[in-house]
Amino acid sequence: MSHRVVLADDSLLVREGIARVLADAGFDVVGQAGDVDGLLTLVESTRPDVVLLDIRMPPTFTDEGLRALATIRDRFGPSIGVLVLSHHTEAAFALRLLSDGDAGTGYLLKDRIADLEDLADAVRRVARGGTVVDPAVVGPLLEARRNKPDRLAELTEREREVLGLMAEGRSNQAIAGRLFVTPKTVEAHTASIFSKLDLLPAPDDHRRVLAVLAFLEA
Amino acid sequence: MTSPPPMGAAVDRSDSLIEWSDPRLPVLIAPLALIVAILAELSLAHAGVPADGIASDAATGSAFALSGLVAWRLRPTSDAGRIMTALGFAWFFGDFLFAPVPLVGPLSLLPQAAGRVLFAWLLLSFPTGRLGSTLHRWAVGMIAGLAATLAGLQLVTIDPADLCACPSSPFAIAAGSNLATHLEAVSATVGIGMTVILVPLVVRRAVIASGPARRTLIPVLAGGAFALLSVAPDLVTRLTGLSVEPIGWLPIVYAALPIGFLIALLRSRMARGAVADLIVRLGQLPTPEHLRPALSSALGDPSLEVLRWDPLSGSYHDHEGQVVDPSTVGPTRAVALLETDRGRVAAIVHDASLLDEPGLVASVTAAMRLAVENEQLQAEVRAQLEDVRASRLRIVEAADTERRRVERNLHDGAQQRLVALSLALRRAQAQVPPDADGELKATLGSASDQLASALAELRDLARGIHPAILTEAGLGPALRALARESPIPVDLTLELEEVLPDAVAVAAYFVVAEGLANVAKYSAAEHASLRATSDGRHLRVEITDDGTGGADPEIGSGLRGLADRLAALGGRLEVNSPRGEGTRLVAEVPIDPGGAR
Repeated sequence: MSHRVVLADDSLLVREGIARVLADAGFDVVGQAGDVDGLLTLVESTRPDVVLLDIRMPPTFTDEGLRALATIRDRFGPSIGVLVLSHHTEAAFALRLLSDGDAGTGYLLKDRIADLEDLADAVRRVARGGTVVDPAVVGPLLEARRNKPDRLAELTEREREVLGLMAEGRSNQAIAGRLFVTPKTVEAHTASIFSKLDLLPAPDDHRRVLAVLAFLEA
Repeated sequence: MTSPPPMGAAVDRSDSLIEWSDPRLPVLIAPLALIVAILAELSLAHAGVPADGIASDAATGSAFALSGLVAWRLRPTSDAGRIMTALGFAWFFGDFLFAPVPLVGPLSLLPQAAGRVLFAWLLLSFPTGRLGSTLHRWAVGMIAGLAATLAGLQLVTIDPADLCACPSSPFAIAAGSNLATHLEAVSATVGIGMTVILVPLVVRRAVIASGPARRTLIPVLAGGAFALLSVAPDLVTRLTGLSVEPIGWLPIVYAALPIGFLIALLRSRMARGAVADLIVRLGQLPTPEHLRPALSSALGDPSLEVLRWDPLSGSYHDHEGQVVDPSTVGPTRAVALLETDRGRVAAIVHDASLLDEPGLVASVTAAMRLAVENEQLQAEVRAQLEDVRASRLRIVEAADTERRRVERNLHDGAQQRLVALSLALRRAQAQVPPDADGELKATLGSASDQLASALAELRDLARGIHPAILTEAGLGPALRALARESPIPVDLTLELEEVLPDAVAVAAYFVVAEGLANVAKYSAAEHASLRATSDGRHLRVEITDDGTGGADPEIGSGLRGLADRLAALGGRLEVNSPRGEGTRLVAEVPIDPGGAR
């Protein structure tokens, strides 16, 4: 079954581009909007599986996307996956988005949409209620910590890898698939990581992402 | 400065032959007075008056003449000094009764009579020298009548030849007659009559005088009353029949009058000095609520009121804000308007009697005008400074707004187009047939990679122009991001308030960005620390490193620009970089809640 997607971006060029790429990838693009109001009307009428929207839209071009997300969560609950596209790599934006967004929320760097597989993967994950954080956001967080004498230094190289994938919103299953290990091994890694970093085990994947991201951002 | 009610003492005498108010006049007259005094005392000596009598006579006469001349000199506009001087002359002329010169002796009786009139006149007219009321004019007229009567009697009964070795008087037709035996009684009656007329009037003057006027009057009236005591022995004798011996030094009690006169004069001079001192010492105009009490006590006028000119309504207001028209203050009040070349400032409504002390009010208003002008100049400088500050702040804010606009344009224009382009390129790549030659695929792949780099660079550029994270997440996360990106490990301490004014946060952000970039570029440091704190009043950012130091804050144009930016916000930048000891950069900006947008 193909996911039904609604797009919102103030640039027609970008909107059309994304719509074609998604259509090519087999998604059903059921509507496009140029601003938040149009988007909300579309969501109301089409009830899509996923909403893809730019973080900056008219009129102020600051955080309209985040506000639209909050409204969608308010009106339609967590059933609709929301993928927010942004030009900002700072983790603070992703953190704010995830704290507002609950499960089924993703933060993707806008450049990423040119990579069909990454885009399709992100859309599918939020449609399933997963959490997505762009690797371009997580990477620098880990990199900046590399040479510092903090608790992160106690992690093994493999554990750092697992931590990064967790921060991107990958499930244990997905991490296992990526690292060619069994889910049991990933579970052992995550438990070790949480203990070393002094983090409380999170009750679900979304809150796990939040906790890890918050730890890395601080 | 103008005074709607005329300056009381400034009487226009331009039509008279002699300019009596010329202050050089008393100086010219002084030697004349000395000659007359010497001649007078020689006359007394000629009559065989003992030395102590001559001394007391000279002292009393000189007291009148001197205090009169001094007053004339110091207050040329008042007649009081001239009247007092005339009294001195009259006193000495009286002594010429014993002059061994024909006619001079008997004629000296006329200035004696004039002296009595002048004495009354002075008491009733001080300090202006002008008789203000009909009652006073009547009193002086009556005393003049008494004095003239006495002088007439004396003229026909007194022959100097009987008293000393003097020429006989051609007028003394009744000398030695019955009339002569009653002369003494008539003389005493005249003295008592004067006392009876003057004392109630003098007491009345003292009682009804307003504060400042009384201050001037009291010494003179007291001196005059004391002088009138000279008739006391006579009076006692007349009323009780008891004989009281005339006291030898009695004439000297007359000196009480000129002494009181001088005291009054000096008092007002001191008052004038006190007010001028007050304002000069303050160096500025006292605040409105202090100005009135200060002027009031310095001028000795509790009724004094300071009216402020309100240029908006075009009217004067008293301290309660009531509109007051200074031209309707009433006859006992006078107004001094304070004006500068910019127009009206204030009006001082005071007791009209202050005008009797010439220059007093004028010196106060002059000093006030200086203070007002000084204050206006200072206010002007302050206003200009404030303008410059405000415009500097506006420049910074305009630059920030412009940066934000550019950043948004980059985002909505170039970045969006590049994203759309990269999408198109990906589609093109996807449409390349699998059997196409490798070169096309490689070219498309390279173009795609370059486009990704261009997007990343554009993102960094946009962030350098205006960091969106500041607006979106606040200064704390923005500084954490900067510290994270630094190639040199940065120890971070953040104690920041949630909400800071945009301009303050932007300034702090750029200081840290520039500071950390400099650490990375020049310091060769292994470690840096960043500390940002705010306490609700100030935001303080401190960057230290363990590098080579020796950074010159004058060289870095980046830091110079940041120092300007901070200064525009009322803050400052300090760079301390001793060679070999690392660099410490401190920026401090006041957090003005009014500056938050």
